[in-house]
Amino acid sequence: MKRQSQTRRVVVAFFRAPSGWIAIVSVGILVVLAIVAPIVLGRDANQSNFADLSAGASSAHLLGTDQLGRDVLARMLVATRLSLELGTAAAALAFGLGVPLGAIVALLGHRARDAGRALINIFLSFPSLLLALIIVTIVGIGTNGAVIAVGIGSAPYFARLTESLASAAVGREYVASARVIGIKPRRLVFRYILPNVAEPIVIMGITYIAGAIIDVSALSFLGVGVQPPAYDWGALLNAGLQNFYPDPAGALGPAVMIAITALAVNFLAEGLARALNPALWTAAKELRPGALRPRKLARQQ
Amino acid sequence: MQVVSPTVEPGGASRSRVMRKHGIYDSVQRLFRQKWVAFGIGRLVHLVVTLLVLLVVTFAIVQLIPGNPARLVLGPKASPQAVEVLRHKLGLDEPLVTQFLHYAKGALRLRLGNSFTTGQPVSSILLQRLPYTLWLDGVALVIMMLVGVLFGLLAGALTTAHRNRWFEIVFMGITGFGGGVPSYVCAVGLSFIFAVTLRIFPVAGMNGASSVVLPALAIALPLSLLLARVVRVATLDVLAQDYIRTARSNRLSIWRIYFRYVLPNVLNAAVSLGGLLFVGIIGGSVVVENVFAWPGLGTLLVQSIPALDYPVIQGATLLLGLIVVLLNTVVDVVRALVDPQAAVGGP
Repeated sequence: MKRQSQTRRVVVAFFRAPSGWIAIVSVGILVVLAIVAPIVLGRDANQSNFADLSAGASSAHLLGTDQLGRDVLARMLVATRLSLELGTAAAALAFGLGVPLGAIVALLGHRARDAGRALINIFLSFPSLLLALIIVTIVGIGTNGAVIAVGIGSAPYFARLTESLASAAVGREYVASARVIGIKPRRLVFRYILPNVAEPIVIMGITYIAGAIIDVSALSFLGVGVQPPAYDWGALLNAGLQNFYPDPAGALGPAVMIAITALAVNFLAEGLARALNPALWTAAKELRPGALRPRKLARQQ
Repeated sequence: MQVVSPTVEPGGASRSRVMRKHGIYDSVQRLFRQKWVAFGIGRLVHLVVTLLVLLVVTFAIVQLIPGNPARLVLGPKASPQAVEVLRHKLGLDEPLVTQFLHYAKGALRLRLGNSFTTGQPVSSILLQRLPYTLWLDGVALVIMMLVGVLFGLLAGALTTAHRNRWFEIVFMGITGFGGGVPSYVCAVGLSFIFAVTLRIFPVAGMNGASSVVLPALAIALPLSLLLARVVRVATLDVLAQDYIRTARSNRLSIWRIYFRYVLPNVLNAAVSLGGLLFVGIIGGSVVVENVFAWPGLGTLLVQSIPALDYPVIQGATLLLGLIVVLLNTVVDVVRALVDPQAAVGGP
């Protein structure tokens, strides 16, 4: 048998489960929407049609119109770009703050490391949205405020994961020898430790994009994120809810988009985690019908 | 229960050194099980430190906002003298440490200042809102536990020993799908089905007992699906144990097996997830309250942020944070009581 390259095997493992396909297709559609929708529908989305304000679904407006007579479907699709951008930016900020922080804590001395760990855990014990609301109060309401708030509010998650992985790596011999030959702490973190623990952190980073989209949308929904005239899904959800009784589509549309995005990104991260971990490749095979018998026997013993 | 000598278990060497240093602990150790005392002190220290962090963070809100809070209260037209007088009155011209001590003292005595917008004392606003949030979160907690544990138990019972593969796939699909949906999206969906289409429950506000159903469901359902997953795995584990086989071979009734043998062991898993779920409930309620115009702390907090009503923002975060801290402490203690091995380390 011809030996397959590592990349090829990873790709094959990714697409072996149906969730891999679903993830790639749905994330692909979302990305295409984010790029294309504002170009194609941007004008429709901002055009007020005073003939039918707050109208229900019709052939001209498939999901109806909002209070200013703007097409709900067009606005929902156009908002994809801003929502994805803001979520990705917030996740990147959380990553950029949390990972170095966790690595630094892992490198500290015994006492200081325990204190740093305890502090990270304390921040983790509060709902990240509560932290985000505090930070948005300080930074100020608006798009930037929401991204910074969600980014800082979720940095402790990355800090803890990085810290626990890096602490394990710090105990290894190659770090000890690097210290002996006088490598400076910063180089130690970025060249020696982080590359060796990067994989789970990167996967968590991708998973977290879903969480960040949800959290930024929540802030916008609460009226402290994206401000009009700009709009993301959260802002649309807020506007739609004010008119929920006569016209539920205005709120349901953005809600469905948020849910779909969250699921798609989760699937993507799950697929990546599975594909990058050879231990799970065989597990995927075992899940096929007919391959179950050995596990069943093992359980009964 | 037998007292285990501290030198026997791992890590005993360092502990006994500490014991010798503090003579008082030595006698305490003989009288009580010293690990429990250590656990209690550890929890207490953790509680105090967490509360301190909470105080510092809420205190930092007013310190870190750009601009002068006194100017915010009086508006841009006020004279500089009036602003200076109010600044002095609010204590903002004093050193930071003095201000913090003043703030901490006030917080302990429930004196949190007056709202910038209504002039009412913050503590009375909070006390007026608190029962609604506790009521909502309490109902959500009950729903979450009932749905999560029963659904998980049922799924575990149906899929044990790889029976009913189709059910396992459906279960994993539902829990994977539903667990990822944020609570406010769930709220919109529930509101559409039950309030707009079927018109069973009110769409918003707080009038009558039925108002609590939809917001509580919206908070509880996504979390209960996460819980159900964990409970199912725990149920599968328990069902594979020898004592269940023994119980079955003694022809105990199925109800007795599940509720007397399986359920208590499964609750372990639920408790170990407890902190995460509580945090989820509090965080979820902050947003979901706003979907349903529920007159609780979440709507109060969110309305105060655009209004720049800093005393209320401080008070509401402080109170929500306090609820989280207390719940986490309760979870830690319950977990230690239920599973001493994991939490305290040995009997």
